Amino acid sequence: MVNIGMGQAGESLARLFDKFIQLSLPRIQIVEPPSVADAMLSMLGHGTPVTAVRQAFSSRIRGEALVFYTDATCAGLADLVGYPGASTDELLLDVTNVLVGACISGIAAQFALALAFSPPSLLGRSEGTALVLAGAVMPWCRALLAEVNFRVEGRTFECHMLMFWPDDAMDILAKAIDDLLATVAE
Amino acid sequence: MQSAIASLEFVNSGIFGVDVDLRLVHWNAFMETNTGRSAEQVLGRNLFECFPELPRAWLVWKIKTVFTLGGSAFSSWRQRPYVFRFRHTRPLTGGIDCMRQDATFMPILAEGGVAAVLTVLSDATDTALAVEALEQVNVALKLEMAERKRMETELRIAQKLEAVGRLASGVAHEINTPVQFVGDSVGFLQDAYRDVRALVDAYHEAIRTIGPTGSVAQIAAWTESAEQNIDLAYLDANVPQAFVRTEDGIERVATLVRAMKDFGSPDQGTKSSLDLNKAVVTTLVIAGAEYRNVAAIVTELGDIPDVLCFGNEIKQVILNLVVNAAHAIADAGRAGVGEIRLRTWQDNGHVRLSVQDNGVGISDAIRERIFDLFFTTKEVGRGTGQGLAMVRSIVDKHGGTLSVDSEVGIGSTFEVRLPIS
Repeated sequence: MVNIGMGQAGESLARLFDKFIQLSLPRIQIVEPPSVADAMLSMLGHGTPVTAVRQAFSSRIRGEALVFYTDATCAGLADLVGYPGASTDELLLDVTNVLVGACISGIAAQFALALAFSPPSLLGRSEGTALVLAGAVMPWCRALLAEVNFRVEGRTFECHMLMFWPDDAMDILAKAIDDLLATVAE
Repeated sequence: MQSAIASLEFVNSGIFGVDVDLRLVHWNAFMETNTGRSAEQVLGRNLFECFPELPRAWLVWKIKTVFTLGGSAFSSWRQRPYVFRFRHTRPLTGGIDCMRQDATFMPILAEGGVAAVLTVLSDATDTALAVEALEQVNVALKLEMAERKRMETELRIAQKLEAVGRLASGVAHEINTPVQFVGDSVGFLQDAYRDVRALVDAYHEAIRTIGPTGSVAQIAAWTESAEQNIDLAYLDANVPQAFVRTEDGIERVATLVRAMKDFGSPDQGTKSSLDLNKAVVTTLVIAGAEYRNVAAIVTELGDIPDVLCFGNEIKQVILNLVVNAAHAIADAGRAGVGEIRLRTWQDNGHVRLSVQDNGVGISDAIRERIFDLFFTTKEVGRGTGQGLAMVRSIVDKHGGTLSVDSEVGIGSTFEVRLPIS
């Protein structure tokens, strides 16, 4: 489901940016709060400092997405969007909103879910991946984590998106998939 | 229902809609009030034709993303203070140049996709003012913290200088005593050499006067007389002792100098390994004049690992505790029969140091205050109230703990617990 959603997202983003967007195959795993940091490190790697932006989405299936940008990508964001004179923070928030909106909408569309998004906000600036969620209180027991990374053809742009669906959202998601499969079977 | 929807027109937010050609399709009362342009004047016309001052490229991008992706877009006053430059809504209290706005760009869905984009402008002026005030407080707090840190550093330096000053006369005395008897011994050795030189001269004179044919008896009488003149037996007995005393004195001075050098060597800005037992010994050498006439020192130094710390500061901790113990014993009138017992041992990832005295003790009334800066029970010139405050500050800085157990008239035990790494 995530893969199909990413395909649709890639198409939408290519129309918006007028560039070919390369999306990786999604990687999915179930995580618990103590294992989140390790999961993030294994997906994103250790070395390069990252700037992270978060954005929540809600409907019957609520969750939160984190987008991680390298410093080089941050520096080249202005080339990607269609307006000049913006601060890096504004560009980060804007591009995050676009990426999260496209991906989550792509997934939600398969379940015919209407979505609402919160405004994105900056989570950490140019720091180690492990530090991004350090000190965060995680009020959930387990979560479905999907990771996908983006590259834009001809640009120095690379970022990772982690999408989390915690606890109850996982159950609803599982039921929605069952319902969808039942519909297909009919 | 209709009246409820109509009343939405009067919400305290600006709401306007544009179609895919950026023609205005919606314009609420808030927008009319704040732009001075009625809905009749703007509906059906291009947004930028009506309002050329708007940030065109930015707005077009925002609206395009909503049309293309079908999701919402956002803008915060923090990154972009306003979309329209509206007057603020604080005519009396003011405090800002114009209204701060958060913007949400939402799709109006219709058959086949997004029919229009509705933009909602929320007045974020109060939030912006509150955040600004908070940030100012934050800056002030940071400055104050930096100032406190600077003062703490200065205080630490002042305390160290005070300690150095206090120790200087004691150390001078410690050095003076061996220097004096080294001097006496060297003077004696000079005299002894002069006598021995005279004896050698006497031998030469005997050889010259008596000649090769002289009798053994004559030579014996001559040398015996010469040796009696310089009291050779006395020199034999005392010259070796003079050398021993000189050697001992030089060693005592050298030990003091080594201890002073070790005690005074500055930390290099980072923590390094410290042999706490060696630090105790060094500090006791330096502080000798503070306790020598007051108390006997007993050390029970355990088998402990090195501690990662600012060594110079930890030595100051030991010094302050020892000096404090000596003063407590003197205050109890036990000078000469006092005892200061220093122990070190290892305990579950920590090393511990205790300094125990049989001094005057600390009453419950002041126990809570003894670590307060400038609190002292000592007379002017003997204590500034910085010693124990500095001990606590240094121990805290190292992530350690400091405790005191005391009974009036019996004595006190200060215990420092430091993490090994």
